[in-house]
Formats: sequence, C-alpha cells, structure tokens
Amino acid sequence: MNIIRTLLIFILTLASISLAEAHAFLDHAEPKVGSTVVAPTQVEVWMTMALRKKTYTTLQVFDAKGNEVDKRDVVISEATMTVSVPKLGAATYTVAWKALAVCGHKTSGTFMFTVE
Amino acid sequence: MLSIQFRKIAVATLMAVAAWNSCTTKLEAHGFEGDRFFPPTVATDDPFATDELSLPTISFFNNPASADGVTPKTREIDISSEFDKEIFPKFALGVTETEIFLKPQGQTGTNGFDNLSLSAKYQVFENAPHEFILSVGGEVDLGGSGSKQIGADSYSTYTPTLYYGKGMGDLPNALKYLKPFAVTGTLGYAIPGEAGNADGSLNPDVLQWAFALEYSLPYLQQHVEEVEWLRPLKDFIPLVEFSMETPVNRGSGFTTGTINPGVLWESKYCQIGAEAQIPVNGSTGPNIGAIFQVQFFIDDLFPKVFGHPIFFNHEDDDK
Repeated sequence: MNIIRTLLIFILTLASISLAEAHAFLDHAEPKVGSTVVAPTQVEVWMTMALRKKTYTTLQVFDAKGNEVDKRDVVISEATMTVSVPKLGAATYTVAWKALAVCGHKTSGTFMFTVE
Repeated sequence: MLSIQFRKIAVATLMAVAAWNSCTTKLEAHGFEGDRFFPPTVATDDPFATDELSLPTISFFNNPASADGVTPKTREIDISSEFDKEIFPKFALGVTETEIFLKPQGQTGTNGFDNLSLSAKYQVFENAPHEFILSVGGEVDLGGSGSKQIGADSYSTYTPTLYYGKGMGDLPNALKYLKPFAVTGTLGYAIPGEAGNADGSLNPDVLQWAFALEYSLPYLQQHVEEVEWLRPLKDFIPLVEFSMETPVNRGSGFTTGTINPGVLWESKYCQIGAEAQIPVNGSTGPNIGAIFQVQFFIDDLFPKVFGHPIFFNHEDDDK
C-alpha cells in the first residue's frame, strides 16, 4: 500500500500545480456565453492560456444565416482575443473562436449570445 | 521469464518509437470532436486513438464465492496502467498491465501480474458538427504472460471492439441544458484462444458492452451558458458508467457487470476520476466497490514527444 500512497502524493502534487488548462480553452467571454445583452460594440474572449499570433488563431461573429458580421479587426493579446462589431440588431449571434496555444495545441469552439 | 520478456518488449517498443518522434509540430488537442471534449473515462475505453497514459487505475472489489463453494468470497485490488501511442494519424497502439492482489476469505492473500494486454484502435468516422466519432480496434490478452497464482489465463483472448462517442451539442436551443450530455461506449466480442480447460470447464465467448453517460460542466460553461454559481465546479464532469459482460455460448452464464456513478476532475496535466462500482446482480459481487484513475495528459506534459502521430505527421505550425 506504500506504493499507492506514494503515487497519490505524486499525483496530487502534479495536479495542484495549476488548475488552468494546458490547452487554450474559453475561460469566460463578454458578452457572456448564452447571455442576452444590449447591442455590444465588441466581443472579447479570455482563454485559459496565452495564444500564438498565428493565422489559425481567430475570433469571428456570425448571424443566424451564417454571415460574418464582425469588423475582422481581431486583436490578440496574451490570452485574450477581441473583435469589434457594428451595431447589431435584435437576434441571436454565434461566436466562433480558434486558438493556437503557446504549448502548440489547437482548440476551437463556439457559443451564442442574444441581442435584445 | 516469458511474461517479463513480453512486457519489456512491448513497453520498450512503444516508448522507443514515442521518443524517436520528437519533432516540433502543431498538435491537435486530444479527445475533441467539434466543440466537445470527450474525457477518457474510467471503466469504458474512449473512442480516440491518441496518446494517453493512465497511471494508475486502482479498483477495490469483493468477488462472490463460486457456486460450488470451492472458492470463497475474495477481496480483489487491481492496480493497472495503460499507455497508448498514436502511430499513424487516427491509429494508435496500446499496452496495459495489471497487478492483482487477492485475499480469499479465511485464506492467505496472493498477488501477481495479470496477462499483458495489447490494443489497437483506428478512428474510422468523425462528424464534428454532430460531435460524433466511431472507431474500430481490438485487444489481445497474451495468454501465459501473467501469473498463475492469481489465475491469469494460460490462453490468449482476442476482442475485436467497436468504439463510439456522441455529444448532444447539436440539440436545438430549446433543449440547451441537455447539450452538455454525451455518451461514449464500446461493444466488444471476446474470443478465447481455447474453448475449454484441462479441468473440463469451458471458456465461452463473451459480449463486452460498456458505455458512459456524462454531463460536462466545462461544456455548459464554455458553449451553452456561463452559470456564475457553477464556476467553482467548472472542471468537473459527473458521469455514470455501465460496464457489462454477457457470455454467449459453451454453457454461458449470467450477465455480470457494474454500474459506476462518479465524477471526473480536469486539471492542467491530468484528469482524476473516482467512481463507485455497484454490482448489477449477485453473480457480479456482494458489495459495492470503488475505482480511482489518474489520466496524464502526456501531450501537455511532453508536447515535443507526444500529441502527434509518429508517421505521416504533416501539420504546418504556421497555419
């Protein structure tokens, strides 16, 4: 059973190094995931780790018909991505992000928000 | 001697080819299909052919006494480890080893290695928008490579297996709180290399069916709705696994298995899982057991070595 105790100590030590993900996942966003908001001027996402400024790393906003409605002026800074949007009408929009993390892993994801 | 050689050759081969492949490339994150992260589950092998290391998986379970009364109720502790390496894109080989500790009621305990198990898996179909994946593969338990003391089979067993995963992220928004649900499962057919034993007992073919039903709080927070009060639990995935075996010929027997409610916790470099093991009937066991597992994300720990196939890895870092 000493082997089990040693393994558990090792594992817990390793796990406690950081709760952040090694892959770049979405930590939170503004507008919030699934929220209903007054027309925003930009969409910003905070990822769980710093990003590489490569072609793959993108942030886009689409309307219900799949048309890209953002201003294609993505700014990447450390672990955040920001893109401006024009005045959005009342509807549901989809945010699509792709992230190439500094560790080299690619991740991507989508979420929606609604403009009232 | 034979069993030690088997282990050394299998482990050394996989580690050597992994180490050889130390080029720097862009890495696809493990276990993703569209927005869905399918975590490696404790009792059910996941459908992804990726680099994985479970070290250890520890299970505690009481086996029932045999029907003829020869074998008493036995406490069993299994400590196992599995290593999988992607060889070609979407194709991985794996090796699993288990040490078994047995303590029959009223008798002296014993322990030893179970037969070495080798596996192969290939992802044949994926549909990212519908969070679906289907893989085929199989497993070979190498007969005679384990310890006779713990009853390791002297014959090999071959188990062709189907693996699948489906996330519910494609449900309509009216059902958005069901989107974090996902299921992964396996369907295998275990064929023993010998139909019978010297003592006259028979070895039936066994249908192995298992699935895991999970509700991903990370998926809820990242893709459906950010729920403030759930943030402290954002790295948890509650799940229930069903791990069942049904003998299908040669005198057959009862379906046995366990229902395992539990939780997975995702951290930076590893995933920790803990589940209860509830026997489905008396033939499975008299008491509730427990199983714990640590999965290391070796592609994060050693990104230059793991996280990409050894051959035909043509990803471009700048894209």
